Amino acid sequence: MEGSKDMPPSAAEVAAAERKYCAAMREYNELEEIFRNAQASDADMDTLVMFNNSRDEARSLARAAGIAFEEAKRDCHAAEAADRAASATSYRIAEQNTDLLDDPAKQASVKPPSLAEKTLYLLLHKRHREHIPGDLEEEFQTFILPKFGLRYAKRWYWFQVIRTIVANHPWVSRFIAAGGGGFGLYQIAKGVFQGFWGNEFDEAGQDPNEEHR
Amino acid sequence: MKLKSLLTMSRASLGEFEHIVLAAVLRLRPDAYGMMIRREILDRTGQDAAIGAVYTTLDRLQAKGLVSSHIGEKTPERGGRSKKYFEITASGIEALQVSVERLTKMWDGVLRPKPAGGV
Repeated sequence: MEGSKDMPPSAAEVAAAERKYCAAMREYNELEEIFRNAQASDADMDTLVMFNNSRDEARSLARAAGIAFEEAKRDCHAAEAADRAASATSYRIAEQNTDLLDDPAKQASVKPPSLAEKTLYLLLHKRHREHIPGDLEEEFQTFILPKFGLRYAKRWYWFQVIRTIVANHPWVSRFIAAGGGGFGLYQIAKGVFQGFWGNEFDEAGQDPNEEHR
Repeated sequence: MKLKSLLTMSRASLGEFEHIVLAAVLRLRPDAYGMMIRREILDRTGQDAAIGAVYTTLDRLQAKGLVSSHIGEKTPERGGRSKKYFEITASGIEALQVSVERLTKMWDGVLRPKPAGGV
């Protein structure tokens, strides 16, 4: 294929590959006919060998051109399908956001999932109950909702709530890692004790004071 | 005197994430609050840090005296909640410089290993 390696072939490039393939096939068919005529007319061995070699060469070229054409057609169709899928996704997001983007007041009226907000409020430490939900709601309203649409924005908010809870209470992630059971219960009991009344832990679940000891 | 220098050293040493958060606070000055710090880290390093982890780190930095905070205005896009602004202190700038110098000294003259693990 003549197009660059990074870019999928355009429709014009596919058409050019098809023309090349057709020309190669025509040449091969002509040489095949010449070879058969030579056989029928009892031509001498040297002539037959020469025609046979030419025909084989033309067949190889036609085969290579055929492969190139098929690859170009496939890549082009794949690129077109990807474009169509991307357009459909953009259209869906745009369709979801049409009402929101037209009316800023309406956009501001969209709130994060209330259950997620309540869960976050309950599981956050008192000193973070004002700022963390505020930061998440601002990011939800300012960055995520206009860019990705309501459905994605709600999923994003839930995901952030879960991550925030895990970051603030490492016993949650330990429970998940332990998979429940007796060991899990022990981990919870230990985690609850440390998480609520003990030290603060960082995201990796390590005691932040440990690195400075 | 010895104890004092030990305490100073302990305060000056920064973990990797602490270093990143402190640098973000410095870059965003004077508009550094939780969401902006998170976005700055995401835009610059590609690390999608949880907001809870950012606040835990900021609390730790504040306890070390490397950042200070004050409560800002309430805005409608935050559901009427206030912002908590963070400001890097002189000790914070010093700690950041010390941390950068240490890293630079450790890397000085070292051939960086290839990502695959070869040297």
